[in-house]
Amino acid sequence: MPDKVSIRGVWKSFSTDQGQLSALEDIAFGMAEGEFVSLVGPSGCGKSTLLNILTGFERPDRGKVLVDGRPIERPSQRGILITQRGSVFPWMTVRRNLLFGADGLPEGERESLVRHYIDLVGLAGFEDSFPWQLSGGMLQRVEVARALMARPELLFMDEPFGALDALTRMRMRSELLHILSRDRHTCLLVTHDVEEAIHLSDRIVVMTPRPGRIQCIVEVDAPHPRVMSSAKLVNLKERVLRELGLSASDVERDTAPRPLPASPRPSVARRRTMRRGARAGPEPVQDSERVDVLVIGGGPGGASAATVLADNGLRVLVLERESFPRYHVGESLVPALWELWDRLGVTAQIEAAGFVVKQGISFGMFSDPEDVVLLTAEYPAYFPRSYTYHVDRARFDAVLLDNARRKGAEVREGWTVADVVMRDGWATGVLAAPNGEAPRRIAADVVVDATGRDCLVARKMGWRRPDPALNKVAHYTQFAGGCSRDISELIPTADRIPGSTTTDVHTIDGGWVWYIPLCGDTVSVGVVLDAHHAGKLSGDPEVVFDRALTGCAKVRAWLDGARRTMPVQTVSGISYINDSFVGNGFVLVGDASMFVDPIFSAGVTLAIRGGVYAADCILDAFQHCDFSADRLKPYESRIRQPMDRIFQMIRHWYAILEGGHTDNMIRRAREIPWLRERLIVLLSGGYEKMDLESFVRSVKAAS
Amino acid sequence: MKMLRRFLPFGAVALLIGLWWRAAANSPIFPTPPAVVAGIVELARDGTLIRDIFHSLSRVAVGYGLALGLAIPLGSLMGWYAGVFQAFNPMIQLLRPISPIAWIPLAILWFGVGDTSPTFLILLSSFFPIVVATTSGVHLVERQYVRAAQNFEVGGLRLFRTVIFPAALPQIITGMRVGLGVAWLVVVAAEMVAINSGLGYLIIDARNAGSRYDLVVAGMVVIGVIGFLLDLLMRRLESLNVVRWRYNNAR
Repeated sequence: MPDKVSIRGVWKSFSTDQGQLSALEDIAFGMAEGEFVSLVGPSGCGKSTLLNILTGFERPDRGKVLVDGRPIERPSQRGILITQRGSVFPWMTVRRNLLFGADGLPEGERESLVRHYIDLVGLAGFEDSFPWQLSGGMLQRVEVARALMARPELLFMDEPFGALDALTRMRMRSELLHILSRDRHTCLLVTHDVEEAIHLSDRIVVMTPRPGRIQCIVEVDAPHPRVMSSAKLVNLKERVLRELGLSASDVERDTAPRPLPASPRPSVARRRTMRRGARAGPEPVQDSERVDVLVIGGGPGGASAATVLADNGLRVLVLERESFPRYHVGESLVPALWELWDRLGVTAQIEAAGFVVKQGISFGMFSDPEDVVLLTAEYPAYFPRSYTYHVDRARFDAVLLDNARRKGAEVREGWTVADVVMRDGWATGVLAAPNGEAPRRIAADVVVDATGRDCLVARKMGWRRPDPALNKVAHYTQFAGGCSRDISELIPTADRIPGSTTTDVHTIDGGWVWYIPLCGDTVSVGVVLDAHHAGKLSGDPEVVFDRALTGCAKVRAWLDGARRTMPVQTVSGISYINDSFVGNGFVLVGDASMFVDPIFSAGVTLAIRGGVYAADCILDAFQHCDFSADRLKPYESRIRQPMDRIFQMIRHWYAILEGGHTDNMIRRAREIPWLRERLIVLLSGGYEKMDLESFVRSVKAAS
Repeated sequence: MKMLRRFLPFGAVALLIGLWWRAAANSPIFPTPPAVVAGIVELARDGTLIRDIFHSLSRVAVGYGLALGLAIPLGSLMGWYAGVFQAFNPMIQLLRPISPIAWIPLAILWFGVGDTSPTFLILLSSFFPIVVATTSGVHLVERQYVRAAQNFEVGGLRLFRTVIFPAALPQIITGMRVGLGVAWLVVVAAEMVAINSGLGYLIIDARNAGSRYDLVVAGMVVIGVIGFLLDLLMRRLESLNVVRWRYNNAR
């Protein structure tokens, strides 16, 4: 349907003593039939001038205003203007004022119309009163009724309630809505009261200070009656206020203008486009490209963030240094991931990938003959499914990244990000290029650092903090052929899933060993040693790995006849939590924010969780056009909760190893059902489903 | 306190009469208040008073009516159209300061001694205050009323009749009040020189005919009372509903 009102590139200036004064520049927007649009902006931004043009009292210098496709030539009854000063004729009674607006109708019809509108605005009994006998609010109702008497197609209001006291103003708003609900008109309201605009309108056109341009157009997507104290509308109000320049951080941010992006997506992105258009100016550095969000790294954290953001209409670019599929350690997952996969819409793809099913963890503690087997299926109520997978990360990560592509993110593999561009403490983009080429600038409102252990941003900011209490070294590799681990005995028949397995964790002298069966007959094996202990062994990783493995008879036996398929990899100084996960215009996700010891298989979960949480927060930031650290901070506090719990558990784990506690919580889980339940839920990734503090306290009390 | 205030004007009048009485008591010519009252009664009895009041008032009515008929349209045009204002305003400002009394010789020359000369002088004297007030009233009609009317596609004579004139009316009424006051002043002066009836003639005749100063003062008192009543009448106009909005602003 074509717009009822179409304002096309309207310009207007006035001659003053100081020369030509530009009042309106390139105003363009449309109003649908029956739509209520508000125009907000600082004083002198040309709002009233625009109204004068719309009502035909003034002509634009350039551009035109069309109503039903026809230009407006002169004032007419098709569009009635209601002003703050009030133009109810004080020398006429209320009735005569109303009749003034309905000239040309037959006498009887006019009288019945008067009665109708008098009733509609609640002035029955005051028909023969003179305006000076009425209150300000009543007068404004006369004004509205008289306007409606003319049966206008358009209603223009220039701060109609501006002269009223606050209480009356609020009442008038509700009354206007009531009137319009029964007598629908296309309305344009000029106001400087943002709350009034939000209360009444379908859309809000925010204008810049003189010369008036359109800063942005905000949709108010909330049903009537609107509760102004609702979080959504309060946020919206803050956003509009910020657009009006009433937020210090926003003002700071926009001192450096940017070029227009060619953003293909509607919604949030397009509105931002208009905003930048309003601030066009000389651009110091030419960006080769610009996107809404730039994600560095296509691993699980980056891919998850990109998926959610792209799914919500943002323009997302993922730059991944390597070409997928590529090897990565961290194969054991947790059942808690099902909820996140559902959120990402990737569940079906992961199911179809045919990964090895993991039903739980078996702990081999201090060479006990019998392992402690903790299966998620024992307490199936906590998770959508009581199993998870051992994945070869090459394929798993590719599935996640492909899913991000499918949701609309642009992914470029083989691209290196040289640096994050910071201006006055704000991330404004990155320097990046295909591997080996000279980097160029790509601008973005938000940069997501998902660079893994590279910690691109954290290193740049000096935020990286290794945890000295968890100074471990990991050596790991993969084996194939002749692996002979059989777990069928460990899992009760009823819960057993064909071909399933568990993650095996076995303590050794100075650390522990993992044994994670993957597809085919491949197994991921790693040893995690205290750095001090590892230092005592010879420096060659392969030697250290083999020596450490000799300490675990079980794993050695399972690997009998198997061959190593890749060199031993080493990671030292494993665990760190960076000082902060967010800054102005950037967030840190996954291993780029922290790295947890692999003991509880938490790395991938935290990365995906972090990616989703960060995306939620970035979406909120776009809603508010505010990318400050303060706005992004909720992500950090949200992800720190599960993280802190895992770190606590990990410290507990190493306390057990160091103390050589024979009486430890994992052994005790054999006998104590509530302890077992809690342990299983935590090991399955349900960090938020358990009160860890009380759990640890009760463990201590029990031992 | 309130009662006292209400009696203050009467007290002042009583004081004036007292002083007058005291001053006149020893004068052989200047009449005392009782003598003046007796004079008024005498004039009323023989019908002269009523006849002279009627003549004076009818002259004012005609002259003032003509002034209204000329001044309001001209003032409206001058207030609305800048061109008309530019054409007539200098002339009006030039003629306005000339006292109507100065016109008496010319009036007699042009119209002779009869009803026309005083009527002309009244027209002349009340015309200027009304035309000036109307001009400014129309000129200062608040724009939002005119714009509202234009918005309702009301223009031309209907615009003037329903919007501009009512909006300017409070100021026009003020001009009319001033104009009527001046007219009443001028009619007495004109009757003293140019005619043989009316309250002005009564006064001059009483002096010429036998130095009847009691009748002279009686005529003065009657002129004062009638002027007072006329102003009272004009003030009543200001309380009409159609103009009260203007005077109610201080409400």
